[in-house]
Amino acid sequence: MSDSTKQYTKERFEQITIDRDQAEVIEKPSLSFWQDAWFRIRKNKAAIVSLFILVFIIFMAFAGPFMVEHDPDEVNVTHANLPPKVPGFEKLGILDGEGKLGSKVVNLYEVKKIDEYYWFGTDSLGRDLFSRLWKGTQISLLIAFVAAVIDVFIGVIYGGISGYYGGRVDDIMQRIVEVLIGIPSLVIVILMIMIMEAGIISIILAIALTGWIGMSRIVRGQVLQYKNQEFVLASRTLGASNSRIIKKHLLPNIMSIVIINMMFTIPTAIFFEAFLSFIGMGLQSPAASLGTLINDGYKFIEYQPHMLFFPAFILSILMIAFNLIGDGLRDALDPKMKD
Amino acid sequence: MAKYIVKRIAYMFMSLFIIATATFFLMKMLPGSPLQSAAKLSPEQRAVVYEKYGLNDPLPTQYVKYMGNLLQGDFGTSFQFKNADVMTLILKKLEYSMILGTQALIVGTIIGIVLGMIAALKQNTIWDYGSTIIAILGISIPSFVFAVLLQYVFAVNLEWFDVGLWKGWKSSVLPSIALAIGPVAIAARFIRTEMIEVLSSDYILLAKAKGANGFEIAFKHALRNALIPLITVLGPVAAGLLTGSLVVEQIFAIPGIGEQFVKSISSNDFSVIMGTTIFFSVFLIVIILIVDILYGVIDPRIRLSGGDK
Repeated sequence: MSDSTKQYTKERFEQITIDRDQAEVIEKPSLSFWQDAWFRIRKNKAAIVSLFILVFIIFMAFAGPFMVEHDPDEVNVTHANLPPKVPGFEKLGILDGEGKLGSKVVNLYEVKKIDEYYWFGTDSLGRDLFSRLWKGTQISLLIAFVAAVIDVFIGVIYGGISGYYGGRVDDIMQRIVEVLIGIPSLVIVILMIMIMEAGIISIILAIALTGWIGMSRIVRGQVLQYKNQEFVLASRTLGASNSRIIKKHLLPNIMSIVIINMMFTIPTAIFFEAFLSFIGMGLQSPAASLGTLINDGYKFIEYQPHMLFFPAFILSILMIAFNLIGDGLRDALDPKMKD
Repeated sequence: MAKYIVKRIAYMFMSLFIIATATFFLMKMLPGSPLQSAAKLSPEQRAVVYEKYGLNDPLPTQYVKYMGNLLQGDFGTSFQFKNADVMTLILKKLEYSMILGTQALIVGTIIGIVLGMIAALKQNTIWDYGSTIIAILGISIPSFVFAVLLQYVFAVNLEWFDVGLWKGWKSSVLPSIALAIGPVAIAARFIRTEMIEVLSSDYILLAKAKGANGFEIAFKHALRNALIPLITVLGPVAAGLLTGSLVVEQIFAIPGIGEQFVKSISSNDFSVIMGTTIFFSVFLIVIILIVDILYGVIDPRIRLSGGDK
């Protein structure tokens, strides 16, 4: 004890004065909500990898059809049912254009004397599957995004009105939702497609028609929770109008949960589109989507497995990526899990 | 509780009423007729057939008649299958779908629970990651992609199973596995989260302090409490199985309801479409109702707090 007191001589101490102006100074740079979320999601490896894969697939969906000289809808019957052949890989013994002809394995490109390369092969009409795959991915993504945006739009408005105005309005709107939620969405989607002409718009409408209910319930719950909190009360006391409170206080607060749910709505929409196309209720040829490509490929599964493999692979990867990003976003944005 | 059940049943009937009405009018709006393709009927024959099916009555009369029959469990007669009664047709096909559904549900849930338990007990180990990856794959990959894959590997390539033919129980193995992947994934994820939460609660600590071994804690104390909330996911699981069955039955050529539904859509068989639609809806709505009531009955905490959610 005596040793340590000796070391601390008087000169080593310095008198400080408390500057009251500095008391409120924040040392760390203040992070906005999204910076904070980005900071946390960056640590989630699965979500980041998924994000890169997703960006790559979206890029390919638009650039892919232009990377080869074949048009996705171009029919060339003499080039039908070709297996994949990629320049450079042929010497390695894979993707070299070998496929079954009858029961023998032969190089179909040599047999048919074709010099061109079809990276992912061709289908039964001789259409290039590489450009078709990315064209199909593009359509599937488009359907899913638009359907998800419509879902969010209707869901936020319906749930917002129901939660914000409350009382009798809420009562009536919630009774309607309770009846609607009992109706299996699959059944409605199929019935809607049946009466509308099969096409991109009817698929989007059918998916959106059933998807908004879940979103509206979540939004309503959030609005109910926030609308009675002090900061909203303070704003109201200061004379803010309803629209200002909704725009400035409620919407920014429910935004994160809306985005999280949208990330789960998109894969559901992708799934529904593929599902409908697979049972023959989706897009009609020559239009391609991942679902129709899988359906086409399934018919030739025994002899042309590559026709099925590529679209099924991209579909699965897309679904996995969206689910993982959704999980990551939920962990990053959910304030309850904030550490 | 009784009031809650009565309220729920009232909603259930309203949902069903809307479904039945919507299905009826949507079917009437459909372009095309099931009799169009059925050979060239002379105008006289057509009149006779239309009269027989009551297609000449004004729409409201048809609607009232249809709803009246529905209440008595009469779904009408099929246009395609030689006047077969739709209810009989559905019941005949139900057996196959039930076999697939129950097998997938039971096997899938058990595997899911085991995976979830392993993940929770060995948190952040290779076991945990493995089971999480299986769960993510199961949730993401559509059952029909999985079904096609199974068929390609085990039926086409390895030839362990027959392709596209119902030959007794053996034919139900692959489709059941394809359908089970959903329940496996959902149950595994759910049990993992629940177990982790339960394992950190005070009574587990007490059990440990009293010297209970790991096995006893895992099964007797943790799993039992983690299992209760699993009932709530039964609704979505049932819906997923039903959606999956439409395509999986198609892929494996199982003569079940799902396959029948898809077939009747392509042949415009109105009464079968209506019948199966309503059957599916009743099935799902009743399951969700039972699940909700069951949950309230089993877990007293929910009853006491007034069923908050």
